Amino acid sequence: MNKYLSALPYIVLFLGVAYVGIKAAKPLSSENEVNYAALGEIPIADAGRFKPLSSLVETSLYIISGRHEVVTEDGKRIPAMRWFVDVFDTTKFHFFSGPAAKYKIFRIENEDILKLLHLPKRPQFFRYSLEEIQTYYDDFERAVDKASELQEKIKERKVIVSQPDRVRAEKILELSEKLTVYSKLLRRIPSPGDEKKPYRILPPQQENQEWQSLVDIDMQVRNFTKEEEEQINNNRLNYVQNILSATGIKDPNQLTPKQQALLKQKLVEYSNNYQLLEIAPNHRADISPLAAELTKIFQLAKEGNPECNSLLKNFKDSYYHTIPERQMFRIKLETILNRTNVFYYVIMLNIWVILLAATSWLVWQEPLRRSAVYLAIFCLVLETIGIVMRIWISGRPPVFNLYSSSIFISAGCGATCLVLEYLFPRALGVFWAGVMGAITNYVAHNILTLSGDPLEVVQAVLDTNFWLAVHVTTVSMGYVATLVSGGLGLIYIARGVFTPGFVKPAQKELTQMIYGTVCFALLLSFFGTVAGGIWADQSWGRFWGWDPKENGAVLVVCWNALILHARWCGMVRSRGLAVLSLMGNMVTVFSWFGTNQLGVGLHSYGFSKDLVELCKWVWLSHLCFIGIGCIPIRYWSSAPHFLSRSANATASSPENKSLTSLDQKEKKRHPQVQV
Amino acid sequence: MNTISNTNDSSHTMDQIENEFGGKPNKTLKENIYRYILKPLASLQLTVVLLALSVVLVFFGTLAQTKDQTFVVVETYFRSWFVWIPFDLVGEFDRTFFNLTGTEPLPGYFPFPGGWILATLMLLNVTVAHALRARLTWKRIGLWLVHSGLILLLTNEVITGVYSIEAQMVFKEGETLNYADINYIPYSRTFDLLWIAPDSDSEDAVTIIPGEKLVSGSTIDHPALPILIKVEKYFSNTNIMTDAGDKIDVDSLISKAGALVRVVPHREGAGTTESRHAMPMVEVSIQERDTLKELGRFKISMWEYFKATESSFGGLFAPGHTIDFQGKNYRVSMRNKRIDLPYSLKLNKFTHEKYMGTSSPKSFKSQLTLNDSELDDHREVSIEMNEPLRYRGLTFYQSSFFVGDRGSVLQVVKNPGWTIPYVACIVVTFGLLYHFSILLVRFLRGRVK
Repeated sequence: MNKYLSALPYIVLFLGVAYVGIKAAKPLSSENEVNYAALGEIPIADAGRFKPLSSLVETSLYIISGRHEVVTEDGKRIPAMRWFVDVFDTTKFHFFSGPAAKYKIFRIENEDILKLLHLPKRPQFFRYSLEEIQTYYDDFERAVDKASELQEKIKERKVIVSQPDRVRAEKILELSEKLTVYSKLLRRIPSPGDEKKPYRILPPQQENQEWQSLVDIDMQVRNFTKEEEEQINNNRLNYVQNILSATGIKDPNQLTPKQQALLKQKLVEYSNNYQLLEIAPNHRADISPLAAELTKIFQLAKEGNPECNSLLKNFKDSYYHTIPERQMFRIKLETILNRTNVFYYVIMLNIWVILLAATSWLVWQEPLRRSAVYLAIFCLVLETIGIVMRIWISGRPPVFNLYSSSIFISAGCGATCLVLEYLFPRALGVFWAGVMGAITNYVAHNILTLSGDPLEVVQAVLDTNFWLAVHVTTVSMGYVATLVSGGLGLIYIARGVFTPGFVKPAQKELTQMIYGTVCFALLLSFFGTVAGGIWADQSWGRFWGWDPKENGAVLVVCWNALILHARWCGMVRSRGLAVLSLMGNMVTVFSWFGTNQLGVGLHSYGFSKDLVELCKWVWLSHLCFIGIGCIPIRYWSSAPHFLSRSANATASSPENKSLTSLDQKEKKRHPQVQV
Repeated sequence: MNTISNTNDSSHTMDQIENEFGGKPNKTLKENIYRYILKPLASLQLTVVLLALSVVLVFFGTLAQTKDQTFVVVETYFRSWFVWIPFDLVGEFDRTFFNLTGTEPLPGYFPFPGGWILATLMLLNVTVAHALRARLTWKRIGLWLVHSGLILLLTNEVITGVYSIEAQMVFKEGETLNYADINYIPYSRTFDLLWIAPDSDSEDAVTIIPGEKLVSGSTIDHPALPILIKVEKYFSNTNIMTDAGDKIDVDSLISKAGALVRVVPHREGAGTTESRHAMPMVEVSIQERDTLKELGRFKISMWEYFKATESSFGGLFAPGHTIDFQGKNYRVSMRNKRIDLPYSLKLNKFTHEKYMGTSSPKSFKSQLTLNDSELDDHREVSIEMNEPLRYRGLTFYQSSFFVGDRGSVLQVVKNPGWTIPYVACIVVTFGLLYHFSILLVRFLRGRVK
């Protein structure tokens, strides 16, 4: 039996590797199918950086739908790029029609919005197509105007609104945001003054040329055929007719001069758009052969014609010569990162780590603990690879936005907990590694990607500076240590209150672990915070500005210092240490996410109501744990172990009450230190 | 482990202190001083209480920024002896995260020790504690370092709080400046009222009335002024609106110069979200000295000072307010207090790069000529994001720019203590590393046995 069990860790590790391997493997593409993965690797220039098309598509789809691929109502999975092929080259004139409008991808849960749009409820699925949204879209647009007005007022703190109204407004704006994200994938004309250009997919062909979008090409088209001009004219007439019939006026001459002017202006705008978006694409080949070829590739892909594969290969071979190799390599790397989706699989693996570690406390102690450790190491390796890839792709320090801080802290917690596990092999460290890994990666993957491109470019002032890089990494590591100590505090309380077998040596060990991590937390958070001040001094001449995020960091430092001083003077003992370190978690969450939700300050870059919810639940749950931890020890399940211990200690040396067990041991070995 | 455990060796320290105090006759007095003053001041319990109070103060000081501008909060919470904290900050926190208290703001305030009290007590606490346990052993070096670094940091915060000045220089390309407009001085107003008398010589004679004197209802009577200035009303911040009452986007004003606008009182913005500084306005009536006859009544605001609105719109209200008195044409206006530089800076060129296809700035750069005839220092300098110029006690940072990139705004900071944090950071970090290494080594040794 034991012999077989000792093989268990390797089996578990193998299963973990196999799971990720299968999920992340490049899908086999046969000659007879369109190779969507290859389409996703097309490089584009968008929002300040070069990236593969799949990054734009998947991030957008995730914001719209909450998934990285399209899943139909009957559970069929469609790759994101397959969906995008239908979206590609559509314009606002076909916003609500055509194949792209049929996909049920817009996630709407809020019942008020469903009522507003007259949509049926779809529990478990929640997703709706543009065709369905179209019918009552005008009502929705009015609601959006009202909601954004309300939002503005709330932001300026002019009104205080009840919770349901606020939620309703938020949800309406959220859907409107999803529609905006979708429309950015369409071929569109940038409105004047809008500096955010449409994504540019056509690489430059000469040295000093820029990347171009399809609209850039269409705008250069001048020669239209007779039929086309007729078509444009007819369309214009139709447009006027539509507007007039909507207002109930038959003769345009009945309009007031003001209305006539407005109509004229709208008409010009409309027909320009129509000409540009609907007719001009027919003539792309005259302006740019590569635009025409690309259009053809996507057209074939839309029809499901596998010929597009070879065309795409030709396209890549002949038109990408101006892109530097480094750039192509980065894009390739990002495609791999997108496809493998490491941070997502790490969530799953970490849940297994938690289960294995927890079960090991009941049966098959060592084999299961070992399995959990191996799996956790595997997670750490995956995360590290992911982080290194991200550093490589972005050319920045590992932490530059909330998303990256989250995955960095996840890896940090993993590493710290594994070290603790090595020092104290009780499946406690690895358990907390699993918990933190699952939560932080969940936050990164499910909440923080909603705010857009996780590899976004950053403001100039946040651009690389030595002290900034040091600051963000060290502060994050300080968070790591604080969160780890909090987790150990939680385990301490849980074991003491709920299990009868929390014996003295185990208490001692856990206290040592908490104490040690708090020391590290103080060191790292202090250095990180001051490094931030130094960076601020170099950037705008203020070492310390009492900005919310800075205050958050100083709270973490103060709290860790408080824990240590309270321990040293005997105000708290091991139970108190555990409770205080649990509160450290609350402080850290306030500092990390909470301060960003107050809507003020230089660092308030990450407002999200999901993060508000996260903070809320972390705080509420921790208050419960703290409440439990404050139950008098005589009611704890492990009470006998605690009471006997303090009785002994009091009997032997009353003044030693306050010392950590660590100190006691030290004293016995070096008695001369005291004198 | 005598380094960190205070309670267990207190009896020992007590003896030691008593011995040091020595002399028998006054023993009781000294003992009393020790027992009732020094010992509590040096106690770790006090440290814990102070840290806890700091955590609470910083927490509320953070929340308060949802209602007031950061510098207001800093002065009322962190650079003050005492603060009344509104209960509604709890409500604000609740409304952001929990939404339990409903839609009514909570009334009332509660008192709390301000930053100065906590900092002073902390300084006392740490100094007395180390003085009482004066022995410097190898094991204690770490703690000594940590705490002396902390003293440095706290001192720096005091120096900054009392002495630091922030100003800005607003340049158009080609412009030369030898002064900086102050936009932050601790505990005082950043602007002056000017009384400008026409002079036969080239330069007008300017009388500067410090902003602090502009208190609603007061009268300014000074021999340098031929008249009396009665301050009817003072507004700490204003906004501009069209005559119809619509809000105006300040940045759009440059294109709408000459549009009818009026200046209206406005509350000061929250946190650092308000991009500009407060724009005060004062309503004054100019009176004849003897008869108190009103010669003119003006609303004078910072909007009239073209440098005050940072980059975008210059001199929209430039004409100022004129008054004829005894055959002379006087003017009144308002402007920032100034740091006069004994040298000049000329902006040659400003460059602003953006990330491709976005409006996000990638880098800013000002190329300047420095002309210092006092030190005979003439050279080209460039100031970039994250690369300031430090010169003769001032530091110049790239801070903002004109719409359309035709000019640049430099932030000028005077902070005599700017090097302290660098030293403190090294000292404390080294101390912590040293101390925790001792703990770690000891712990690992204990495991190996």
